[in-house]
Amino acid sequence: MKTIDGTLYTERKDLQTKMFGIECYAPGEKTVENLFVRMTSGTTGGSPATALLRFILNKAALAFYEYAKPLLVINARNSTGLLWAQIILNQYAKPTRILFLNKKDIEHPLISSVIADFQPRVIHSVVHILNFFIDKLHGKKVSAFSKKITKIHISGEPPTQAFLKKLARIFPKGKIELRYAANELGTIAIDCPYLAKRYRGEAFQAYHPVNPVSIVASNQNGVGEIAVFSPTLDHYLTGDAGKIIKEKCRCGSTETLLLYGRMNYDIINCVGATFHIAEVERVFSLLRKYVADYYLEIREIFEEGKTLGSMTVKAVPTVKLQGMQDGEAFVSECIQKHLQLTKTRRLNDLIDAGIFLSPSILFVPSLLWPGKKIRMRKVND
Amino acid sequence: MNETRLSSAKNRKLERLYDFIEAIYHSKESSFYKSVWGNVNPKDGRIDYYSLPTIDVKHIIQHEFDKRLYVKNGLFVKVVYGNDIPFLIAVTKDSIGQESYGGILCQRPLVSFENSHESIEKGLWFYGKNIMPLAAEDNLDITLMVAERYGVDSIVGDTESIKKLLSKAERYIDGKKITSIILVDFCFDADCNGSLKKYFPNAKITLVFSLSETGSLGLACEEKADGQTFHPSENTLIETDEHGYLVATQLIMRPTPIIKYRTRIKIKMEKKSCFCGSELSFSIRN
Repeated sequence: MKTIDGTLYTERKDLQTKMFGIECYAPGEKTVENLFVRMTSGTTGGSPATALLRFILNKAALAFYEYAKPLLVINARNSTGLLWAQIILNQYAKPTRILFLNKKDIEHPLISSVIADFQPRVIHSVVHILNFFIDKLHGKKVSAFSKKITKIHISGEPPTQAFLKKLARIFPKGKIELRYAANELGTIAIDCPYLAKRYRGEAFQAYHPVNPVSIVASNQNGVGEIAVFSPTLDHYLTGDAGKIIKEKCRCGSTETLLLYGRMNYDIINCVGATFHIAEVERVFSLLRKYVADYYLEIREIFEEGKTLGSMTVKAVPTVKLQGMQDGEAFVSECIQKHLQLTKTRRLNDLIDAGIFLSPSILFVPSLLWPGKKIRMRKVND
Repeated sequence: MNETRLSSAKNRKLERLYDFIEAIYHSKESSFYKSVWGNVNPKDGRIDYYSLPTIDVKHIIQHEFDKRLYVKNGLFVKVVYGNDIPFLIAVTKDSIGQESYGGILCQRPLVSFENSHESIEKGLWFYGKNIMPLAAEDNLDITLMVAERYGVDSIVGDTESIKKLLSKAERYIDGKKITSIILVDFCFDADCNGSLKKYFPNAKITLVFSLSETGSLGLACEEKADGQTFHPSENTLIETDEHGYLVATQLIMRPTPIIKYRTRIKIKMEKKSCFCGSELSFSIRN
């Protein structure tokens, strides 16, 4: 917990020790119908963050219900499938139907014909799972359902241009709607077509908040940490950097939230793998005699119907490394061998599985740090 | 007195069955059963249930999902595996709520099935009773860590999934705090039951005979407690075909109703009164 300007905020790390909001649960009461156990897991085996989420029928939810079309939810978590099934089948959304698929389902060789039988019109997913799903469909006959998809809701990490192009190719009639959401909070903000047009090409995502948001400890440009008020977590710090602009949008909204990514760039997601800054620093500490300074650029690239992860390391070599015959290969090998990117897999496992390319190592004489050292960034080419 | 009561209950169930068959036959939503049944033989002005042919999984797979739906909306659709071809089956909150999984002896259940669709469906069953379930994830450690933090007091799952939970449960949860275990499956492993009793000494163990496509069909007899004898659920009719395969009918308006559905499971029926008072029981033949 952290107190800022007299307000007590809950942080993600607080959720790693207990189940927040459990006192809201009253077994046997009607209020249970909108209450859900939510969890997130750390990539390197850390304790999961857990909290109860009270689903609120806000603007985003109502917009969702309006579709009343067969909805395909693709997500890695069964608890997310349960949440969607419960809220979709409640009194507000009865005129629709829902099919949930997790990673195991997606890997079934006959899943595309099962989906075609369901005839979905709307897909709701998160970037890395949807990416995985599309890759699994590669080479299969999917036109029976892919051309009938009219809307795709995506939450999670901001999608890259490569990913959006891939989506447009598979689902040519699918209008893409982005959401800023978190497992423990639900939907925080939604995009709108006017915002997308207005801020196209910017280094941030623009959304209209649907839950009470504020910016904490902002700098002179108004950028600070995004805090959200939720019934179960009270004032909660998301760990994301953002800015709020009061402006009237053509859609009628009066507030815009600009999302810049993680505070301190401490987490980057790429093709289902997660780069944690602590893990990156651990690996480079093994190389401290060889690398004096470093900076990582992480990308998703689209090749032969597949999205691959790619990493470029700009490294300042020490004298010792300069004296080695194949210094780049040495650094690359060390990173591949040690960098843990999923709960069970290191970079070399992901390279062997054809998910990541071998890292490119570029030796540079020095790195310029205009402000705080930002060790890694996701580059959206 | 008791016999009279039982007989009138039986008559009411038969009445419901005949009404149900008529409603399905004349439904405007789907002609799935009409196409399978063909010309039906009326008896006393009603469709003769006993002359209707059975259906099986092939009939379901051969028909498009939408064309076999008698309820079109408010559907949770699940994928049923275990056959050569996976297929879709839908349930509604109403149909899930009418299934029997024994009495509710818990407030914080962990729902854990090999097939995630089953975990969600059974989770919805608990929501229908205003109980918040925890759905198991594919990652066992995460599931158990969260279960411990939630303070689970009961576990509902299939044999495979519960066996996996048992392999690691000791590291995360205190077995003595579990008061109820509901095993939902179509075959039960005596070794697994033994391990459950050992690790969860205070838990009441309920065995529910169930298939993904039909839902709960019967509960194990608590009096006999042999883990092999089941009594049909309240809304279920159990028969056998000429080869001894279980044929089930459910008096529940499921999106695709279960009427004379022939399974691949051989059973032995017994029509004499059980110690517990039930008139009909069936046991699974190996």
